[in-house]
Amino acid sequence: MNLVVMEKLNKRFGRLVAVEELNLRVREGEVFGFLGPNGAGKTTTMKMIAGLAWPTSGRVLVCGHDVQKQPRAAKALTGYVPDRPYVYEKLTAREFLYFTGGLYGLGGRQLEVRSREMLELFELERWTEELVESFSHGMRQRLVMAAALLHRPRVLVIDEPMVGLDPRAAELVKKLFRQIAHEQGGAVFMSTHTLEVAEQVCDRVGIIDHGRMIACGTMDELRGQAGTGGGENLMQLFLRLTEQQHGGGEARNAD
Amino acid sequence: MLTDLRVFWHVLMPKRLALLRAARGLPRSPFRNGTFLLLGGGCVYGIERLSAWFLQKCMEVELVGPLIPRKLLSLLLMVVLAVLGLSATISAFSTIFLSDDLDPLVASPIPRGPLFYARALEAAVHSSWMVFFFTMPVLFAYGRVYSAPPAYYGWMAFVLVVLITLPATAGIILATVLTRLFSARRSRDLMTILVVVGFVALYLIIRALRPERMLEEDSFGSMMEFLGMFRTPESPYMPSFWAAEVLYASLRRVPVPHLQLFCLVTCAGALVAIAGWTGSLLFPAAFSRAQQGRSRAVGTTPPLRGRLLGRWLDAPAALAGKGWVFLAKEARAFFRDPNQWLQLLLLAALAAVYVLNFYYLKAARFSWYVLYTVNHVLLGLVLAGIAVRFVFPSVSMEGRAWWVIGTSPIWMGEFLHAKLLVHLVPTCTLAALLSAVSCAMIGVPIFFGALSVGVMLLVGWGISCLAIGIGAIWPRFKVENPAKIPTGTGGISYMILSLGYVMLMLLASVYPGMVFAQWPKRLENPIPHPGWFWGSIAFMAVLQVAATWLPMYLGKRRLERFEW
Repeated sequence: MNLVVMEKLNKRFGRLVAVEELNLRVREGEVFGFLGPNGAGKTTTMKMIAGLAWPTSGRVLVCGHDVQKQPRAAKALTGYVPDRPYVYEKLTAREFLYFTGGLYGLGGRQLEVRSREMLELFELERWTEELVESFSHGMRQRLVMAAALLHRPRVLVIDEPMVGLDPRAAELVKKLFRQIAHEQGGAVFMSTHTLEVAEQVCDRVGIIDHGRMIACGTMDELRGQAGTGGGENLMQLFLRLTEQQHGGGEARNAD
Repeated sequence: MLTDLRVFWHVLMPKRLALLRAARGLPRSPFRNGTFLLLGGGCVYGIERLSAWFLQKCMEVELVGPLIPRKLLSLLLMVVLAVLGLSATISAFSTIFLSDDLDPLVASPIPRGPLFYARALEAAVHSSWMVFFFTMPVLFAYGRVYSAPPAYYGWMAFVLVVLITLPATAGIILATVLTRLFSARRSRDLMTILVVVGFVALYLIIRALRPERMLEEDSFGSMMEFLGMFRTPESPYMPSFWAAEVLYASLRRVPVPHLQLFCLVTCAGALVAIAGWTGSLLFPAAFSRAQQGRSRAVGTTPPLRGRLLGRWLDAPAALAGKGWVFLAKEARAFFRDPNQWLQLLLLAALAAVYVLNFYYLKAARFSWYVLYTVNHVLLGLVLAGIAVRFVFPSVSMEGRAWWVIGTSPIWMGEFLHAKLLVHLVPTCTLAALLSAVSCAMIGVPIFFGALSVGVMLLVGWGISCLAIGIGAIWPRFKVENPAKIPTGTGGISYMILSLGYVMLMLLASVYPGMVFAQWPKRLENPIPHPGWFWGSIAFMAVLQVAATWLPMYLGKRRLERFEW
């Protein structure tokens, strides 16, 4: 089953084309890596999945719900982690989770237990009653991830998950992504510039440049699309594919 | 020197470009710009006409009439001086020491002097443009009433700029010294308290004059007593006095007094020089000091405040749902931020001053009906003013954490209704309380008192909806300082629309009020002008529905399609 579907997705800001004719499907049980140079359209695409930006044309479906037409149903099944973890400074970590949980309809004992689980998982239990304003970037990032997973989303949309995380937290997050996709049957849609992480964690990778998908598939499929013999790592493939694109290579969209 | 000027100009580049971009973007939406131009122009024109009418009335008072506008001019400029001094100090903390974009500038190899001057200019412009906007039409009204020569308008612009420079630079010097001595966070809290004290002091100074006596010919024992009143509390050493003298002379086509002009210009020049000297001497150390208090270290959350607003607030969420979740978050954010709750002191002072005002006015032997009408108008204006500070920024204060709301499965109407509920209760309570107490002070008959409370509850409701709705139509999530939220297009639109709403609502309630007051007789006799009566009621109903439903609906639509 496809948990995220993008059909002929376009996004323009005035004359600037941020995303162009993007067709993509992310399946159940899949960690999908969304890669691309700066300004390629990754964050805009993720915001359209999360309902923070509206497509100029085309549509995004999350678990079969159109994000524009049925935003509440789509959002209820999505967890979103932005590239910069801005949170309410005057709430404590626990209160932030309670607030977020409340927005997703959680409450009572269920919310209390789940919040405690998440705080323990992300090693924030010592700081439960601390105001968020005193948190470091990494602690905020962990808190935002805890909030995104609180309601057990089927789709996790996560923009630059490793920024600000210490090695221990980064390992935890990688393990968690695999667990969500492979054990719980969800889908993780992540963008990252850390290509080693993408190579380790992602089942499939899509590379976007100038708003267009230039390659998409497993590592072997990417090698085929790049026209290489084999053995190249993701970094080498990424550089080759984006260079081809800048050299006038054919753009292609992929399912 | 040339390098310093270049750096100064360069540091201002982001602001200059933003202004240019805004100006270039104007022709793209002619309808919106036309509406704003019309509303803004109408507001300026209204202030000008109202001021001219009032000045004309003052001039008509026998014997002392011509003296009153002169005194009022001096008072107006004194108020401008005081208000700007306070707002410039608070603005200086945010702009010169606490702004996020300062870090790369301070880390760059540019001289500190021009950086400080550029930021000081920004703080001065930011704190004074609105006062400038509202003072100009009053001064234009003086020009109209006195049939002033063209030179007056030149002097007016010059004097106003020089006068604004004085409190702005004084505020910047004070902020710099305070930040050097204390942390910026504490200094800002301290200043908020000082604003309250300053506000009350300013009121007491003006109140001590009992300006209402100016319009009463027989309230003074002698002409000398009347003239004596005009001397206090003004001092010939105050810049507002110098500015008023220069303007008054140019109004009457007599040569401007050189001494006062000299004092005004040299004083402004001296303050600019002192501000520069203070900046070059203290800015690096003060900036460093400001960073210490900028954020709290982990493990230092005050336990008491945490307990007071802790778990017990979460308990009702299971029953009350999302509305309570928002309420709990708002309460915590408000009471844990001293900048927010300290303003409750200002609100309390404002309420006390308001009620005290009517005590003085009653002593001045005005008829109760005049005071009742004045009370209605003032109360509406006070409520609109309070709402622009407390209610209007509510949506924008979600700040950069807006994505939490934007990505959650809630109906935007729920979000706006929760915001409205949080602010509706205190606004309407305040409206009813102030109305009831001031009516009691005036000695209004019980029926009119009840009518006043009813109308004010409607007005409080309408104003809250306008503030939340317009705040959602023009959200400013990325503004660092909450005090800056109402200074944008949305804030001005809200002020203009809320003032219009208050005035129309109160005007429409006059005739039905008069009819209701004679209700027992009306059972026997028909209403003299039933068309007027029912027309007014229908107009009030339509206006109330428009003020409550329309902005909330448009705000909801805007947030549903808001792009982050």
